[in-house]
Amino acid sequence: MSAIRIAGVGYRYPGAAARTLSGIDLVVDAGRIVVLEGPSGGGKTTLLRVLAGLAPAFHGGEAWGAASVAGLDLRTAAPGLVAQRVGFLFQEPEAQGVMTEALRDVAFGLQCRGWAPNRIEPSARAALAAVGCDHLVGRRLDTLSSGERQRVALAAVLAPEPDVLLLDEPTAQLDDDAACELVGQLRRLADRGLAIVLSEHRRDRIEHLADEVLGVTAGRIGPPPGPAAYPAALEAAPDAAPALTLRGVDLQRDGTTVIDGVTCDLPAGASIALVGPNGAGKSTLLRAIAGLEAPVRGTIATPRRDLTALPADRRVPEVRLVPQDPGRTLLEATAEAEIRTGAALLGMPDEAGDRAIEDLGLGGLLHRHPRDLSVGERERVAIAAALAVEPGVLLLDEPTRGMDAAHRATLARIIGERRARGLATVTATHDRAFVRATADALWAIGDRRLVAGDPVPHVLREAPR
Amino acid sequence: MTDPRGPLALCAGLIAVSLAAEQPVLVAAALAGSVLLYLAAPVSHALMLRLAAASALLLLLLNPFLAMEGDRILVPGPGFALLDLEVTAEELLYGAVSGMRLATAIIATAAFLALSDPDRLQALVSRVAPRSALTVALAARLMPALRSDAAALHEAVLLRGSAPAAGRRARARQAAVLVEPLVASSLDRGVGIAEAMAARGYGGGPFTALPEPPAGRRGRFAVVAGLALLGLAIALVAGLLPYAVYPQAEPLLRAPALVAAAAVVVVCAVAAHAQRGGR
Repeated sequence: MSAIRIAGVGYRYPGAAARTLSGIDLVVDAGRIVVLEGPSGGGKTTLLRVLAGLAPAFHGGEAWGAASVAGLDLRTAAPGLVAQRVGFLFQEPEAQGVMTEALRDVAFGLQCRGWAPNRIEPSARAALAAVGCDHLVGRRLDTLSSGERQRVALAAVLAPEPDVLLLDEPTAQLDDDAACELVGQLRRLADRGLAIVLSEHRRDRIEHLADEVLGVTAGRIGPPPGPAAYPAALEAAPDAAPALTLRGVDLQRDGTTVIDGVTCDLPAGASIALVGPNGAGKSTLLRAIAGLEAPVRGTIATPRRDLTALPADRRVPEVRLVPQDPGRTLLEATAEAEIRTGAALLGMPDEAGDRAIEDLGLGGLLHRHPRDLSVGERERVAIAAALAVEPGVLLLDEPTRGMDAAHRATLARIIGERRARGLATVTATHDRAFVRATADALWAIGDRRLVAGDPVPHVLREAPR
Repeated sequence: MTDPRGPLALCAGLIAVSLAAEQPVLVAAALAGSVLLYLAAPVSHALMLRLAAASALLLLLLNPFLAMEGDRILVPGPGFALLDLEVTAEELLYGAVSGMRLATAIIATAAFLALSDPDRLQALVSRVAPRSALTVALAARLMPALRSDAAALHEAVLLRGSAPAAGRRARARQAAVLVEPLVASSLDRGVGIAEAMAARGYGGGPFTALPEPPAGRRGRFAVVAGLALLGLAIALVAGLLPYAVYPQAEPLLRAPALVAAAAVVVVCAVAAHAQRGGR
């Protein structure tokens, strides 16, 4: 029996000249898992929103065609009614939370479905435990890392036991163990009769999961794109003078020690992958290096000066951070202004910005409002803005979130080219293919300790898949 | 953060007393009580206190030019059809009372939102008025979301290498640049919360209320104190402790009014202390 059946579906956002979706035909039977792949901005997220009944209901615009999901006609069913039978995971886990506390947030979906009160709390706790988050029960969502938030969001979607699951990049923020567990869980759910449609850029994580892989490009369904053509793996950087040194750095979050006694050097021209489980403190360390968090003790320095007491603005362009979720840090009305303003403020020439725009393929997006861009496109804009100031040390926090395979490969190539000119990069990521392509050493965080310098191939061979 | 029923009773009681009282000292006591409660909340207070003070000051300064009453003339001046330039002590006093009422409403509302657990508040409203739960969800999250978005935008400015401006005017100009993206992100946030609630099934069927833990001793005290304040407000409306500002202001400090005002402040001080201890 078909859980999803749509024919000739199209969609246009309000004010947009072009159709975002056009002539979409899709049938997904109960018990099947369909994976959507395709370039950033190709229409995957919009298609999932249409299937969830959220577009055009919350986004305006115009939709057409015939669509039935879980037996409901999307032309007439209200979004709240569709959600009684369809679970939808947003691409940005920050957008999923409705309540402030993790357990209550998971329970909210069960309350909305009218579950008996005595079933709600045990089910919500079980859902959190199933995604490895039983320790987050009483935590406020705004104190969680992005990975932890994604796990809680997954628990909230899975707890009500929907008939159809729509997941927008469900593993983007997850560490390897959590991603493996999720894949197994999705397979078991499909075996019990759920229909699952998910969009995913990380083919390595879902290749054994999908019953069918479809490409969504320029708003149409077609064959999936090829795998990312990463450049050849990087050789370890020759011994170079350090571009950055950390000595005995202790970091706290809300009064609790996150990382203890970090001592390591970042050689000029090195490309480091910062890895560790969700909530280990990767973002906190990058923010401390960028000057957004103050270490409790220890020093952070470049060869020129001690940065420890310097505010974030005075560390630029020696150190430049591209934070997680760049959608929250958009300041300008066009993508071009977003990219160029930082360099202009520092009195730097436009050439580096021009090169970043060209390298990251942003020429066609320059006049768009950054808020109208997809998550992957925003990420590229934020990286271009950082490259435009020609930093000495580039800190990237989950840079491949929402980024398609081709652009991940492009970013890997850019990092390789820039490091030849002395750029040192630290990339916090769970994307192992990206680590293999870009990093010559690892900084691994776990149990509040940072172990620096493991060569990548060794660690990746040892890591569980 | 706590059970919203206590803060709701207290803050509603204070606003009711403020609106019902004619004695200026009692209105001032309601304002003082609101401030005590707000200071007990674990949030940054400066912005809301400044907003309340500025609003109160505006009413104090405007009233003498809008009213044409009072016997004790402080500044003589000609009167026109719509503008009275004469300033009397009574006009200033009435303006001060009006300003304190407005400030009480602002600060008590801020205290209620800051002291209440938004999840329990939303659950409470979902039970009582399901259609208003979305509005409450947005209102309860507005200030924290604005603070968080403003912090992210401020960090974005720093990461560009743009130093915080020196001097009040320059800082104001710099902050003004952030208003547009902040408003845009807030509007996005509003749509996002509404969309997330719908995507989780809100509005698609019956909503189950979760059993809440019973109110503790502190919570019960807050509810009883709030009900006492509401009782006082009803008595004031019924004619207890009358006071006339015009044509000539009566003496401000009379024993019954002072006793009532002291009681309001003491009750609020105890409740504020209990709220601090309850965290």
